Amino acid sequence: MKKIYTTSSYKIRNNKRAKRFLKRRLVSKQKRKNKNHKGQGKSKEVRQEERLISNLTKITAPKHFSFVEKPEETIKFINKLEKLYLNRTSVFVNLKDITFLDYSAVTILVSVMFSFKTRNIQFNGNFPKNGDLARLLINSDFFKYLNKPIGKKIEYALGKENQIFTRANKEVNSELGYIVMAEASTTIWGEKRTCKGLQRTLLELMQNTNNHADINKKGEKHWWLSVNHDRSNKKVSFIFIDYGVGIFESLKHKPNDNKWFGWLEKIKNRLVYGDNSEIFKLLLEGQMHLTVTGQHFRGKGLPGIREVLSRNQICNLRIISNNVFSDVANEKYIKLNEEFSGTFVTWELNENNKNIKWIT
Amino acid sequence: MDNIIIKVCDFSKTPGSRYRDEGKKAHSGQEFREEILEPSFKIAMANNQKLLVDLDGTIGYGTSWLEEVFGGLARAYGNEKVLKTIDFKSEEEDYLIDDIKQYIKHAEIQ
Repeated sequence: MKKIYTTSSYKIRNNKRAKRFLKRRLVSKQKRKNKNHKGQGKSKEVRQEERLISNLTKITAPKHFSFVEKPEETIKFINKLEKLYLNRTSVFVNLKDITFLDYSAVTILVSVMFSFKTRNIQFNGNFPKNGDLARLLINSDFFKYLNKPIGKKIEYALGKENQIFTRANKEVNSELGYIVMAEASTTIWGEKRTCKGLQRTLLELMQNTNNHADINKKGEKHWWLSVNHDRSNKKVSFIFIDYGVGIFESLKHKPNDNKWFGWLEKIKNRLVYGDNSEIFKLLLEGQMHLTVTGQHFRGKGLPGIREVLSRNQICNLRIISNNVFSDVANEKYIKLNEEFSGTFVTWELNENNKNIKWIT
Repeated sequence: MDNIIIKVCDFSKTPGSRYRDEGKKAHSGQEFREEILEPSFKIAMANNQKLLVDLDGTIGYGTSWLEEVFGGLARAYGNEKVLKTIDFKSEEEDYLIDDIKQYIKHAEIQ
């Protein structure tokens, strides 16, 4: 035996080391034991999920997940997510128990996920138990991008063409209308047709987001457009969303030299209740433009989109902004108890809507 | 002398935003006005000709584009001159002509 191993200093040092390692082994063993104990009786998937969400804040999606049908619950869910986003908190969205999911909800999930990921905040979620709903999310590419870095870009495109296709941009992209129109009209009429009302709607919305979604700067906020093809019913539905300040907040912040400055004073005596739902009705009908500016709105902005609807160029137009839900076609304007920071617009195109031959 | 004819669809089938800086694929009204409409408008005025703007053949217009093109021209040259010089053709969307004339009338001269 080497002399060093018999020296007392070596023995002391070796004993200390052995004790230290034993302690470490025992702690690890206990940890392993605890972990196995916790995992007992749970499936592999459940254990995997628990491991995944241990560092994330869990947030459960509404069971009936639809911005159009359940706006208040959905806004509550979005607002919770927004708070976490602003605090840069990592999120796990629990979708397991949802019983209903529509395109409006899918668009929200996709856009929120991208917002988190562009700020490098962890965002994860699980599959709905219902297979059809899971498939809807898979087709939207939601899960594809969950575990993929996406980087900061001006434009994003995801999903499957002619099924559910989502695009995001900060700019006005008039060429997008050409592609969307060609695909949508083929789904509806079996051939490419020109739908001028569709392009007017897209342009007004893109321009609104680019100009007004951020109070301080143009082109700061993304807009999201989701196009969903329903071949069996020969219709295509559209969802447009931005997480800007919303219509009423934007109006509140108009500078002194803007034609809309002091609008509330000017329309005050046209209001009975004075809430935003009443103001929104006046706005969409063009009455507000006339009262505030003294001019007809001439197709501009949101009242222009309502005009597109009344010309039968689109149908089923519904708008949510701040605390107002509006089913424009049925002239329903409802005040919501929750405030959505942004603008959500959905509409449809079907075989009864006006169209002309495809421009060549 | 013959009238001058401008077809918007020769500029773009997808006219889009108001200003150039609002998008790289936006085919803005500002671009159309500065590069196509205004030079022809000047020639038409100098030669006492009519300038016919054909709005057909595109996939549709946003109002900001229309206002920037025609309202913008009226702000630079005065609405009476613009209304006197320009004629419109819009068989696919007849309501556009009335809207454009209102944009011109309400444009404030700089």
